[in-house]
Amino acid sequence: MRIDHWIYTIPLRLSSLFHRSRLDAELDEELRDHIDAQIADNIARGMGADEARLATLRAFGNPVVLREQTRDTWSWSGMELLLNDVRLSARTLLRTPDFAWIAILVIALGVGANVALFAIVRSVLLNPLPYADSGHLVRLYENISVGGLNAPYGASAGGMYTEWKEHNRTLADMAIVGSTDYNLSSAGELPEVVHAGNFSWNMLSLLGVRPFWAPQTCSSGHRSTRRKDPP
Amino acid sequence: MSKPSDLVQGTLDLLVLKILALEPLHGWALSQRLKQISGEVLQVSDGSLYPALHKLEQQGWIQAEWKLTENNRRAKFYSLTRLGRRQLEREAANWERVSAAISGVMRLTEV
Repeated sequence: MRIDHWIYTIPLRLSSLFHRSRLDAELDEELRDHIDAQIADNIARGMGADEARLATLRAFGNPVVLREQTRDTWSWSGMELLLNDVRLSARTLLRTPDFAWIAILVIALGVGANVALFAIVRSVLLNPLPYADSGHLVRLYENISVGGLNAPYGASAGGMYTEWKEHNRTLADMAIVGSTDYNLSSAGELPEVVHAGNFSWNMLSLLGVRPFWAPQTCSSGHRSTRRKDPP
Repeated sequence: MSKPSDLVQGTLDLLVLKILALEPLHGWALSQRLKQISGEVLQVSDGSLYPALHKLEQQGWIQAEWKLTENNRRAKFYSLTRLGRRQLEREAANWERVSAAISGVMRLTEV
């Protein structure tokens, strides 16, 4: 649709929605004017008053039908039909409350499931990660393939990471992260497993995360991950 | 009395657009002009003009305005919009094409 089409039709459609009674009155006036003018014209041609009126109505057609046909061309007659449908279905549902409740419940369940799923999809897939410059965050990993054995996303040795970091010209910074489990127990209580992550000293500053509490870290921290040669 | 369907389909729209392109008119004057121009050949009931007019208005091809007639009566005058002028050109070209094709066929059968 073109814009100039809307310029003409939108005011018309709005007025046919909100000024229905005025439009009806104007249409009545328009039709009546036509009939009156035609009668006057017939009389001017020498017909009697009754004859002029009859001839006019004969030539005009059925005014009631024509008025309905004209109203049908107004854009919102479709909308009115829709409203009627809504009213009818509301009445039908009220008459069979059991069915109505089941329908409402099914729709509510469907909507709820969708909302819950989307909430997960949004936070996992769509929202950016809550880190500084998260759009430039990449993950490096080793793809180990030895003698028909394929291990994608394999673990990297700390020494490997140090090599990467020293020869890196592409990335602003690199950090290494791993995961481990600890056993935690206190006197008189059962021990518990604690899932923990260990990472190189620059991890937090790379992600732009300020830890709630942290011991002093130093730039030589990652060296401790280097495997020591056995004595 | 005859219905608009007695006209070739869509011809009433074309005639109305063409007549309104010459000057803005109210409903009755338009029906007089239609009779005058087309003679008795194109029979259309006076009233069936109004559904056609309102449909053209809804499509944005003509616009209506309440104005005073020459005898000082209030009447709804219809005039062509810019869109309507373009539509008239399109439909007129279409009509030329169709009527040329039909008269071509008619000449064939007479030979």
